[in-house]
Formats: sequence, structure tokens, C-alpha cells
Amino acid sequence: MLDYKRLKILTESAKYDVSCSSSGSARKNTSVGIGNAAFSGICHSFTQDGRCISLLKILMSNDCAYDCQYCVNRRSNDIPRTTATPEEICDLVINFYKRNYIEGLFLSSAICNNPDDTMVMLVETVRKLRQEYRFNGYIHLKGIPSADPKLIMFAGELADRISFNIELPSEKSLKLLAPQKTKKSILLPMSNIAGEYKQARSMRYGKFLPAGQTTQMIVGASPESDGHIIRLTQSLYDKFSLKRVYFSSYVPTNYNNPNLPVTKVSLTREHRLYQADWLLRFYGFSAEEILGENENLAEDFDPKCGWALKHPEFFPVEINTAPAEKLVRVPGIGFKSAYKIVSARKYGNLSLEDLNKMRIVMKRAINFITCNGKFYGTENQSTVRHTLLITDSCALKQMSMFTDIDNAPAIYGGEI
Amino acid sequence: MTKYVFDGTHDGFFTCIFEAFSTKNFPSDISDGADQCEIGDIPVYVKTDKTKAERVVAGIKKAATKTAYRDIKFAMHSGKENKYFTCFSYAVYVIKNKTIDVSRNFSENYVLRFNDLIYAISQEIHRFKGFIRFAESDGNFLYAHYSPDNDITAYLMPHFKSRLKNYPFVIHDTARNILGMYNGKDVATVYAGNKTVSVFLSENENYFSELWKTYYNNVCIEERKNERLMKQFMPVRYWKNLPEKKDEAPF
Repeated sequence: MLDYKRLKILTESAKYDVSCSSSGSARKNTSVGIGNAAFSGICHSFTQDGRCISLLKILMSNDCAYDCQYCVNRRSNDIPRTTATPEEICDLVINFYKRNYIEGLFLSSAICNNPDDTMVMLVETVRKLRQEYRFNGYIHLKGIPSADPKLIMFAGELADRISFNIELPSEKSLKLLAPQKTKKSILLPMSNIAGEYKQARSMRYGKFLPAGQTTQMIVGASPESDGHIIRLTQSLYDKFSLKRVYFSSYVPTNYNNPNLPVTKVSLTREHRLYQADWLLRFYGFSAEEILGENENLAEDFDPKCGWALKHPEFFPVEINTAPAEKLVRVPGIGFKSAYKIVSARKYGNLSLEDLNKMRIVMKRAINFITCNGKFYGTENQSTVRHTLLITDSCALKQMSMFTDIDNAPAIYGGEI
Repeated sequence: MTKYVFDGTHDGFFTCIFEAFSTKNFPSDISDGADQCEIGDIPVYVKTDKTKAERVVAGIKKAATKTAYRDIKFAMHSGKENKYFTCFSYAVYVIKNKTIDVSRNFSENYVLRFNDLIYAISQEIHRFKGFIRFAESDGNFLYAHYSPDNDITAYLMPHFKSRLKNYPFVIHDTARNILGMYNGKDVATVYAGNKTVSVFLSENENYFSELWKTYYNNVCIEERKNERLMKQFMPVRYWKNLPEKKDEAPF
């Protein structure tokens, strides 16, 4: 069994992976088994950084053969190393799971010897957990770039979700900061999985990766613009039918490298990228609508407000007649509010007072809507802008306590 | 000010609605007798009548979608003081407007307040699917204690039963002394009255809860600390029953 010391090493090395979601799979328990997966996902605890703990996020090994410069586990970094056995991981998962500490396992690993050896180790652990320990809870497995495709496909039949990390938003940055990884070695397995996933869905054998695949990229370690990142994200959703793209603000783990920023990257930027990602996935926006190729997202208001300010011709929207997909484009109105409005207006025309009662964020919405044809806001663009800023300041303040705004200059002026 | 007092049962509650419509004396509050009457209250004691209750239930089912009746039963599990009156007002509103189904009219205060109850209970059920913490007892069953705001134990049982099929377990609501029990086959939820429950833990238990704390303390990224956000997702009042947070809990 893993002791405290080794658990600590393997946890600390795994914590920079941001994904911890356990949603998207409805795997059922078996008569002799333990566990199932909840489609909506369940959070079991929250750490002091405000992130949820849903899965036991752990590395099989942190003894890495690679030397990626942004990574805490790089070969050249002097930290304690250890490797767990498949049995140790399985025992820990079962014991945590039955106490309801976790929803399942998120297993990743540093590159032990070579990609194939590592992937064999990961797949063997997951196989044991499913077939010998009869575990039916959620399993998220990290794919190792350049590993044998057959191993990856086999893993796909056991796990609920697989993710390959894009790591950096461009090939150029990848070459500079992660020389042993190539764009092809990451994208090829992703496209293989996407093909298999589509086939499994169309033939309805469904067992292959019920929760699909995701990816993660580090933001701020390299100079790509938000416009570039959002376009890349959109094409990943389109091409590989990814479930999620995660962004991770760069946290310095390597102070001696001229290619990397030494201060940590603004969390507001990450926050804004996630907001834009939400617009892509749920609100029917396209990357091109959100911002230009070389632009960055505004720090002081969210991307939906940004879009609304640039498109006065779309507004005002009439609350009593506009379809739901138009309503959700109004600042201050999200899916919950749109649902309430659409349900309530069946009973009669809604007045401004009704909207207030329904707790629609009127401060933001007022300048973009009409109620029964009447406009209650102001036409003055700078006032409109100002109200959006003020209502968002709360969120900003919350972030700014631990945000250093500027970071990038170091890297822009550097070698890249 | 008329205040209805009933026996706290479902049938009793629906009988109150019947009384209100038949006497045209609509109360300004309604209570299960647990709280004191205030000065100015005129208590009306309503005697539970199954036939009357059934007529009201049939009326609600006719006036609105099937979910409205189910929602009222669900909302009665709320821990809020005014839950009976909120449910009462909602039911009365739905019945009075029986020609159109108004159960989803969110611009009406009765519906909004009722919906708040439903939302709070559903949210807490979802949260405790994650925040329940079992400990292994030396009697080879799993035991969890917690004190939720709402009476939700019965709603958690099916979830844990399907997960822990082969592990008998007990979920103990210490605020209400209600026990949800699963013996490996059947589920039962019972009220333990003023009896106390004592459980002896297995030898391993301490080892695993310490391992869990080790994990919890090391998975946090120090540079990104945001305690306010953590507390928003995991309210401090729940901490006393979580092994990883127990030491920081204020009471």
C-alpha cells in the first residue's frame, strides 16, 4: 500500500492537470461490482484554490525521461521520484471510493523509459481495476503521445475518458519548450480516437469512451494570442469532437529558463478564455464572432459583453417575443434566466418588474432589451460600457487578490 | 390572523387546503404544531381527513402537470420554517387558476418562492452525493453521519445503494436523528427518536482518513489560493463532518 510520503510525491506531481470532471458517463454497476458513474458528475470536496476534487488525480510515476521545460517533473529538476504499482493504485481507489471520498480515478504518468512502457503500465492498472477489482466508477486516463495505437484503443474500451494534452497552443512553442513532443505525436492519436468514437456511436456499441476525449493547454507560457487559442479550440471541437478543452494558466515551476515567464500568469485571462469556451459550446457563438485572430480578450468585461458592445445592431431584444437563442445573447441573461422568461411569458406579457422579480440581472440587461416595445435603458455608449464594468468588478476583485497582471512582456521580449 | 395547525402528515396538509376552500377562511400561516402561536394568531385546528386530502390531491393533479403534486411532496422535506405556508400558497394558487396550468409561471411570487424551496433541496441532495463521508465500522458496514439543512436522507439512499451494492451502509442525519439503512438487499429510512447511535471504527479507518487528508492537502496549487471560492462551493457549516476539513471547522 502507498504510504503518506509516496502519495504526497505522486499527488504533487499530478496537481497541475486541471481537468477533474467526472461527467458524461452513465456506466452502471454490475452484480459483483462496486461503483457507477453519475452522468452529471459529482464533486466530493474543494481545495483551497477553489477547484473541485472529484477524482483521485495521481501519477503512476513521476520519474520522467523527458525534459519539457514548463513541467515540474522534467528530467533536469531535482525532486524526489517514485513509481507506484498497479495494485497500490487499485487498492487506494477502492478504499477511497467506498468511503465516498472520490468519484473515480484520473491516472496519468511521467514518461517511464519510453512511451510504450508507460502506456502498458497505465493500461494494465486500469484493466486490473475494471476486471479484477470490478470497479465501475469513473476512470479518466491520460494518453501518452507516441504510444502504440493498439494500446490506446484497448484503453478506450476500459476508461470513461481519455485525454491527450496539446500542452502549448502552437507547434513553434511546442518545439521550443517540449522538444521531445511533436504536434503529430499528439494530434494523431486524438484523431484515431475521434474516428473510433464516431464509429462506436454510429454502430451503437457505445462501450468505447462513454465520456469522450478532452485536452488541455498551458496559457501564458508562450506568446499566442487569445484569438489564436479560441480558433484552435473551435477547430478541436469540430475536428475531434472533443468534450472539453481545458486551459491552465502557467504557474512558474522553472525559474532558470530564459524562454519562460518568471511570474505567474493572470488568472483573469484563464477565466475569460473559459467564458469564451462556454460561448462556443453552449451559446451558439463562433470563434470569429468572439474576437479577431490576433486580439486578446478584454480583462475588464466578459466576452459576451464584449460582443454585445460591438454589435449594437442586434439589440435591443424584445423580451416577450425573442426566441431563446437570441435571449441568451443578452448580457445578464444566461440559460436559467432564458428558461424562466420563456416559461413565464406563456401566461402573459412580462413587465420590467416581472423580470426583476425573476432575478434577471437587470443592471446588465437593461440597456439591451425592450419590454413590450418599451426601452428603459440608455443609448449612451459610454454609460452602457460603464455599467457592464461595474457589475463585473466583483468578479474581478475576487481574482485580483492573487493576480499579477503582467507577465507576458518577459517572454515577448525573449527569444520567441 | 387565522393560523392553521395540523398534525404534520401529508394527509393533514392537504386537508388544510380542503378546509380553506370549503370555509373560505384562508389562513395567513400554517404550522405542524411545533412552534408557538404568536399574539394575535387565531389557531384553527384541522383534523386530518384522508378523503378530503385525496380530493385535494386529485384537484392539483387535474389543475397542473403531474410534477406539481410530486414537487409539493418533495418541498415538504425542506428545513425552512415557512415551508408549509409556501407549499400551501403555491397549491392554492395552482388550484384557483385551474383553467390554465400556472405551475411554471415564474413571474408569480408564489411560484418563485416555492421554486426556491425545491432548488435548495435539490442542490443539497446533489451536494451530499459528494460530501457524505463513510467510515468503516468494525461490524463490517459503512457508517456516515451528517447534518443537512433539509430532510434528504431518503433521497440519498437509492444513489448509494446502486453504487455500494455489496457493502451494507448506514447514513445518519444527526440533526433529525434519522437513519437511512441498507443491509445489502433492502433500504429503510427510520426515525430513531431520542435513542443514541454508537459505532466502533475498524482498525484501518484512521490510516485511510489520514491518507485522504494527505491527498487533500497536497493537491491544492498554493499559487492559486482562493478560499472564498472554496467556501462558496463547500459551505463551512458542512465541514464538521468532512475528515479533511474537521480540524478547521468552527464548531
